[in-house]
Amino acid sequence: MKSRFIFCLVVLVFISFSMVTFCVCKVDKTYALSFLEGTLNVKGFMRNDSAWRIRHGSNAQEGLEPWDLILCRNTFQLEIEYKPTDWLTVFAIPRLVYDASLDLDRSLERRIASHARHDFKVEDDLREIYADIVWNNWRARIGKQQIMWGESDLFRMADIVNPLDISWDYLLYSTVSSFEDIRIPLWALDLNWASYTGYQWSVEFVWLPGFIEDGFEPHKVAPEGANWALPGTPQFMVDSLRTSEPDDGWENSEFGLRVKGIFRGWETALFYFYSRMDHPTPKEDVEQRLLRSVNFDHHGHGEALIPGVGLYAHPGKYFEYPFTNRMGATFNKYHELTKTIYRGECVVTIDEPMIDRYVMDRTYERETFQYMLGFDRPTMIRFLNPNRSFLISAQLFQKFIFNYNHHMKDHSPGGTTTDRYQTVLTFLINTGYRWDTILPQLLLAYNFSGEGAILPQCEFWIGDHWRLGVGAHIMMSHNMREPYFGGFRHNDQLYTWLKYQFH
Amino acid sequence: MSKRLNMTQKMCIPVIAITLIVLSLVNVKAEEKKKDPMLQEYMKKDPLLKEWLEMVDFYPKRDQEWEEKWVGKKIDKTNVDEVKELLPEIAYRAFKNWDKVYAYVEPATINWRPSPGFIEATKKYIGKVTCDSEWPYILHNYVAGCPFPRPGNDPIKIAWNRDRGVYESDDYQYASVVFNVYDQKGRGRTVGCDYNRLYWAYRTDIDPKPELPGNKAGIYRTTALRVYWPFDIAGLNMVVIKYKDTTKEEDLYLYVPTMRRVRRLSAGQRCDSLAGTDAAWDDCDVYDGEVRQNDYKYIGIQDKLVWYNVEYPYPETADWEGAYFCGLPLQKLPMIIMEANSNISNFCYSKRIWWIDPISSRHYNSTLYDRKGRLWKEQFIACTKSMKNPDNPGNNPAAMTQFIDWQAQHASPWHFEPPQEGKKTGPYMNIGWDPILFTPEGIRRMGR
Repeated sequence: MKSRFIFCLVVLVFISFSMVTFCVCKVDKTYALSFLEGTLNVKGFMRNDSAWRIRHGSNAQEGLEPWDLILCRNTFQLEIEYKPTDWLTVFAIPRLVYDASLDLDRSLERRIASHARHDFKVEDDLREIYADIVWNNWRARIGKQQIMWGESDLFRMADIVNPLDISWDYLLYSTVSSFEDIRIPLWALDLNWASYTGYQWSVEFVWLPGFIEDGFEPHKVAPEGANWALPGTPQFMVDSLRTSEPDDGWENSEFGLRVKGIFRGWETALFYFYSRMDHPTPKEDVEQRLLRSVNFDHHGHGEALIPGVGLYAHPGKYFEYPFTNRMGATFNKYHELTKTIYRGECVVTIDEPMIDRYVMDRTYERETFQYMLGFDRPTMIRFLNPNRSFLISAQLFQKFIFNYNHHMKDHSPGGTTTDRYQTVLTFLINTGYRWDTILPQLLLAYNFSGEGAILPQCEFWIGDHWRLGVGAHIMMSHNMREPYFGGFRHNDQLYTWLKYQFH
Repeated sequence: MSKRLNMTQKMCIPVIAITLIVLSLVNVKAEEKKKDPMLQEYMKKDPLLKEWLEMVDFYPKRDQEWEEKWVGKKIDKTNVDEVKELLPEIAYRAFKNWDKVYAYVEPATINWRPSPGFIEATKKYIGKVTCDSEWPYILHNYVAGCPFPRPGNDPIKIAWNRDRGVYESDDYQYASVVFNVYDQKGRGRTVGCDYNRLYWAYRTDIDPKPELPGNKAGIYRTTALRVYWPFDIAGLNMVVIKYKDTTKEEDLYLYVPTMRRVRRLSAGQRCDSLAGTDAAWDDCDVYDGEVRQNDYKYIGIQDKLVWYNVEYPYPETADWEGAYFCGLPLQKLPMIIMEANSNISNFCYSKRIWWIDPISSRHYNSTLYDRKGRLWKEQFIACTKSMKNPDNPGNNPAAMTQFIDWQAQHASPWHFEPPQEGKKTGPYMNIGWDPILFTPEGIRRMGR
């Protein structure tokens, strides 16, 4: 009864707010809520994302049934821009998020540890706030922000500055909003110098001080029991990811430098980034710590994780986030004859941490090299759409681990688990019908180690204010160990989004 | 004196005499043209206009008999057949078939001349510029100004005048442009954007002239289209870079706010809808493609009815039938009629019929045909009465454009937002843009 009430309340608030803002927009015929003689502009949206499973859960996801509503995420977001002078702009994104799925289905709620529920359900955050100061060729952006480098879509390679919040739904937000909604903004100084002369050089220096607010931020993962929980990761380990974060301080500072130019049509960039890894590495004595914890746990904290092995849940700092050096390059080029954009990027990581498949506290450090080559080509397929081209885009990703041995496991999200190299192909096709108000898209991804996904979706534009979308994730994998979809191979889902945007 | 003239000298006398007679007749004819009272008035008021008209050797003449009958009259479905030949094809159909479409006739005026710098550059380089008559119609020795002030009936020269010789100032901003997108039932949506342009070469008014320093890439001009409405595409910023090398294709870069990065786009997307409107990317500025992408046919100079001298910003039209510039003034003016046949295989348009003003080389109308040669779309430009920039009072950029897809019965007029406190709206010329804003890194910096 309570769950129905909450659901109705969410729907009611959504519709009421939409109607009010719709009326305001209709009356004043303006395109942003403006204050202070037009220097302060406010825009925003309300959005509901809902997803339903279409398969039974895996063993680790026991109890998850087809048509379980596993996501009912309601977002209210504002975008506020204040531009008092030509050289200064202040921008802020406050966001409120409430996922009603746990309140609508108590069995889902019970799967998640009580202390982890609130963080999973609610987010009330000043997500981004920064000031842009522009002076001649210089631009400084200071504040909490997202910094995006790279050329690749769907999988991140040179996009290494901000970590991700993958507790919601990595696939949904990577295909629908290109990570924007799940990148974790960080406090940073982004200093940029650009020139329009010569090769249009630009130089960008990034400094993440690591001591403001939460300091260093790693990737955020779902709690145990959630639909997108990492398989085989108990809650105390998930908790430990946060508690293992280093203390705030100057020593967490991360630096990056990027230099870019355009040479005879080749837009090329070189970059370097010194930072902590955003995913954790077990500490060398983690197994000892876990075993010791049995003795220290006088309150009988938790139960045996793996019966017979003797690992018991106990809070502790089991992980570390070591610093690494990453350097790479990106390029894009338009080829007139084929009317195609070719693009690519590569990253070399020095001393990337690896873990052992069999021994928990054995780690390795290896150099890795990864690259992406891709193309985008608009192509008329008249019998399918006589009025608009289809964008056909394909990408090849490869990653190599130097000095590899078969005990090694790269445990980064999407890391190599089966061999010294990993090869992934993606293929994207999309178009627009009825003056781009119906926007279908099909995305295919295939990892040559034996997994893949089919991700169709379609968005409908209804007037200026409403957007409706529907899509599906169909995942295939030979086993649970595959890096991208293996652990989630039973997580096929249908999803919808409904958005009302104002001003 | 007593020496007798030889045979050759005897022959020269009548030849010289005949030449003098012909020249004086031509001069008389030109003087007659100049005697048109409308022309006299404008030339007296503006000596630079006089200089320009002499340079292009074109003197529009008011059709007084026709104007006596029509000026002040309303044209609508009841009498549009009488002016059918003077209207573009789809405009005629709109008047004929839609109840709410009407216009008033005004006496012909001249409200355009280029800046002194442009006139000077044209004068300086007159006769030095050439172009190939064979494909790809390469332009040679062009530095600044109008390349061919007297193009005659050479369609290639007219096409180059339209491409390089339209004076638009060295940079400009069309601030707060709104596209309305209507279907047959009047249901619509809007796209709001700023349309900014900067000329990197062939500059005539703002220093540095004639080219920005360090233009190693050989950029001719850059155009930026920055969307601010609707919310989900707000912040999209597309830069189109055209090069001085007329055989080189343009470059397109798009800042995508949801990706927070700049994507490079293919020039092969020129047929795609521009921000979901009826216009394709190729239809920006009536025609945004290259001269070499068409073969041309000169049809002639004919008097036509065009939307000229209109006020801006124009109130937002309320419904589909009202979308066709209702109540705006039409003037009967001479236009060059030209046919442009696409030579790109599989291109969306097979043919375009252009109306080009012989004085300004500006497009006033473009009728578009699909691959099968069927009438498809029409773009009609309405030019403004006056300029906001007092230093450049003669310019008349587009105040609004009507775009109709006749096959789909769909329309996308654009116009400026009404004035609002603290918000720029309308055209602004020679404002001194920072070139960085028109580079890929510049649009990334402007993004969030």
